[in-house]
Amino acid sequence: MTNLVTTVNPGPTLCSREALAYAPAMGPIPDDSALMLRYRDGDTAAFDALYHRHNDALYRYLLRLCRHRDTAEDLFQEVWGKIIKSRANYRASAKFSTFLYRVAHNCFIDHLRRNKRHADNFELHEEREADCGEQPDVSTERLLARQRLNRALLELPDDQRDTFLLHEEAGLTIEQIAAVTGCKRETAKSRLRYANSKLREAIAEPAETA
Amino acid sequence: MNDERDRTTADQLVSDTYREVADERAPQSLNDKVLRMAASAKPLRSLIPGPWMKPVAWAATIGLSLAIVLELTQVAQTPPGVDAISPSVSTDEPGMLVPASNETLSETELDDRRDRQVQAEKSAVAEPLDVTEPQVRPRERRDVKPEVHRAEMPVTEEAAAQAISHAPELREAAATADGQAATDADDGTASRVSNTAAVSSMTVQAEKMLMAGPLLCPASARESADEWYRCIETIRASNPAEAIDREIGALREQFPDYPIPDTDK
Repeated sequence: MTNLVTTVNPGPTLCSREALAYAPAMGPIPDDSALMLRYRDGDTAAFDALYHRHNDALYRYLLRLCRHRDTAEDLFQEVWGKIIKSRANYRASAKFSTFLYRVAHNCFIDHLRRNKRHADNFELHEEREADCGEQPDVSTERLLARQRLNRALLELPDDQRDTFLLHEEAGLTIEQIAAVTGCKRETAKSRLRYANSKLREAIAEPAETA
Repeated sequence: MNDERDRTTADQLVSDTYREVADERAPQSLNDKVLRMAASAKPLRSLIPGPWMKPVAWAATIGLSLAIVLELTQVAQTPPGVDAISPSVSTDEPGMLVPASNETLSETELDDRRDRQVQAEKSAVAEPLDVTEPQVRPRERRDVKPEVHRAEMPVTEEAAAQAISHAPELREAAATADGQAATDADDGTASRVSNTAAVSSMTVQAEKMLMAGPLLCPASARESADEWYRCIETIRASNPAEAIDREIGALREQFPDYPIPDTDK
């Protein structure tokens, strides 16, 4: 009987942190950390699920942070490559998204160190058609608001844009943003406030000038 | 927590507008690449320890503890001032190097400096023996020592010559000291000699490690990101920027989420 139990359940003991991270995997929606631990133990399907939860948000984060599509794609691959390589060192002590975006933030910082002249050279432009079914005036106004927001976002200082994107794309709290960017909580909070303020002004600008 | 998440209506408008703008998706080719990379990653070794792990861990812990206790006992017996000599930082003696900024030094100059430092340390190994010389060595042995053109030599060559001339004496002194320690347990000569030699050989080994491999920090320091980065900061003052970049790159590979301070960003 003892042998049977040993062979059926060779995993970590029930009180360990590893086991706690595994526990949500039994439910219908496994936790990110549980998926990562399962991938660490060889379950490739777990990585697929994890990847599809975060790929688009991470892509948008890098795209708007770098302001270059090619660079963003390179960094995107680099980030996931590092996650894959360092899976042995992964510990479920923090939220997976905090870990993921910290790696992404570090990759971006490394990229800045390698290419210091990229700053004033961005290529993302947004040209959109008005949505069908909207009143022409309304749709034009919204289109302008979007364009202005996009432009204002690209013109934000790197740290404010980073903070705003971590908040919007990754859904991180102020504390988590501070942990990812390596700054104090108050600094992260004020960066987010400044970013929101500038973007708000950018959206409101057409109405005021009109 | 709620106060951060609570947004004003205006912030909500910014958020909503951003959501309308930001609808890009990762390209399918990129998705395929990453998923292929994940699938082809080499499987890791099992992290579950085998049944032999516990006794081996206990034995290693006990062995290390005993070694540390013995080492501490020896250090406690050593009189103050004998082992406190730090050859690499002493600037009072001729032949010792004064630390200076390396920003203007070339690679060859750095290599020269390292060579001279190793030579100076060799000479410093012999210096503490003077404390024990009257006990372990007959007086007339000093006269055999060759006195070769000391006045005309540069300071570093003099230090090297001194080291070379002291080398046989060091060996002989160590042997004599061992014998004396065996006969007289109260005498701390043997422990002083062995401690000094051990400290100096560790310094020389560290110097060799600095000069040899592509990564400057030792493997023991590279096990933890904090220790590794501390090591990088230590060697920063005396190494070119490429070496620092290489170290930081390797650290990033192993610990991609470690937050490196602003000085390196």
